Amino acid sequence: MRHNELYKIIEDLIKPAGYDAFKDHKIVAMVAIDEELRFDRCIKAIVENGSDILFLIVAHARMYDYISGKNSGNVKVCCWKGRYDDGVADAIFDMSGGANPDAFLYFSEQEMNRRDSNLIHVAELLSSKNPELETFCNSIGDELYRISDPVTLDQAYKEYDEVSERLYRSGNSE
Amino acid sequence: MRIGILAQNKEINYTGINKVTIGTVSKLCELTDDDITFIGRTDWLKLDVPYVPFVPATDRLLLLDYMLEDNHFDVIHSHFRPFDFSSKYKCAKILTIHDLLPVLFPDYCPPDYKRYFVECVRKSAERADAIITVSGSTKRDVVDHFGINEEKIHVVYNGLYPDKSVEDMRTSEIAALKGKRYLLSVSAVGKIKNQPGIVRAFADYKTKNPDSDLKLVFTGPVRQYENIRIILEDYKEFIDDIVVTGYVSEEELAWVYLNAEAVIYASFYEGFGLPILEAMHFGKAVISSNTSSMPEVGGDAVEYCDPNDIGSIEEAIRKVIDDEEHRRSLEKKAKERALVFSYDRAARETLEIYKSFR
Repeated sequence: MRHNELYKIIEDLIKPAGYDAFKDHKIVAMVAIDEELRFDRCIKAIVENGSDILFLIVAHARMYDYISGKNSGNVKVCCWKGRYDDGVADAIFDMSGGANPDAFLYFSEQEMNRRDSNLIHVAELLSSKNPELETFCNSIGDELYRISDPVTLDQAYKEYDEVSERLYRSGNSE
Repeated sequence: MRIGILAQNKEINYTGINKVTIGTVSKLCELTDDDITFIGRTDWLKLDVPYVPFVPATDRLLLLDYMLEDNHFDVIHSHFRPFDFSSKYKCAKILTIHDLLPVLFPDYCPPDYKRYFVECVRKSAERADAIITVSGSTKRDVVDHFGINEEKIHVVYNGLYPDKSVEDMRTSEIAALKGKRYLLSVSAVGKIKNQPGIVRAFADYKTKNPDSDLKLVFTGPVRQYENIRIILEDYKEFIDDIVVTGYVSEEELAWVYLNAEAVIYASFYEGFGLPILEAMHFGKAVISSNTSSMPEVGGDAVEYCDPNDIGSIEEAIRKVIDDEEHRRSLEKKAKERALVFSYDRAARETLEIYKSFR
């Protein structure tokens, strides 16, 4: 597959969305890494569209006190240290008490960034329990993007990296 | 000639490196008919420049071979992100290095970022055909710590963005600061920026001058608020004298500069030190550290201090705030010094480097 064709697939999987996308969601899982004000704005925008939402928040250690001290009732939060690996999905399931989240949101510097492939994989794991789960990325500027198929996106990122690496090696050995 | 630009991360609130990209590329577009294209989407930069598809990764060396199979470039210039591609493509590689903070102050950076920087930026620098540094100080650091031949390193100073004269700038008042006398600090919050040192020196100054109405204002993006909370926790008696505005708009930033008594920038290390230049542009007396690139930017128009010595910072505050004649003298020199730096100049010098690869 040509580069520009693969990119077209990736671009089609990530589309801008409005916060009203949460109006029918009941359990939203989130990974909060830093930037308290951005986190607050995001929660506010979601709640404005769906006030009965239960939030399951995996919070970086530096965000944990802030979130747990500020929110209660419809928020469950756990403290996370280290890389955001598959254990994030386990932590979310532990907090959910058997109910499966129907939305997953993470924060990113870009709407697309291969650095986030571990969080895309968390979305895949959550989707395995609830195929109806919707995945969202909050990009800088409070913009919201919906990732329509995290499994395919993960595959596309892997393809992207493998082809780049292969071409790089073969090009340097010529 | 087709020139590809790799930018820094997405930002809506323009700071540091993205200001350098916007300032330089907008002037480049005025100076040349060459085709300038971004690699990866940059619509958030609000520059009318086309892009080719590319998925960024902010944690690794960017390999561009796949993209180059479909897109030809004569020069690729990364404004920050380390990159490489195989030698089969006849395309020059230019990398801008702004500073060597993770190498020189590893304890001030997260371990992942330190590894990324040391491994990936170093490799990209070694493989580059040319390196641009934003100061002679950073050039020396790159030579000393990466062992790069200095002949391939070009110093291109940053300029001012937006490059409007002070008289033409729109300002927007911050009500809480109206009518107040304040010492202004403009930067992100981070260990390298030495906010605790500034607060301690300010507290010492206030203790020695109990009748002073001077306030200390921190302006700039705050990502990890606990850094600010920790600082203020130790100085509760001065809590009413220390104002944290967070990020402000360009118009508000112009207003806080214009209305400041003086500006302080006591960072431990900088690759350039944009707020020093911004403050000089507004004709303000600046207190700056005497380390790394900062004396190169400030010249003789700045009051210097040792950022590791609270007494030195406090003394500099006292000289600038209490000695009006000295402050006025610095203000006069500052305006003249600021004229040395511009993105018009930066773009011309950058274009000469591109042309050397025609």
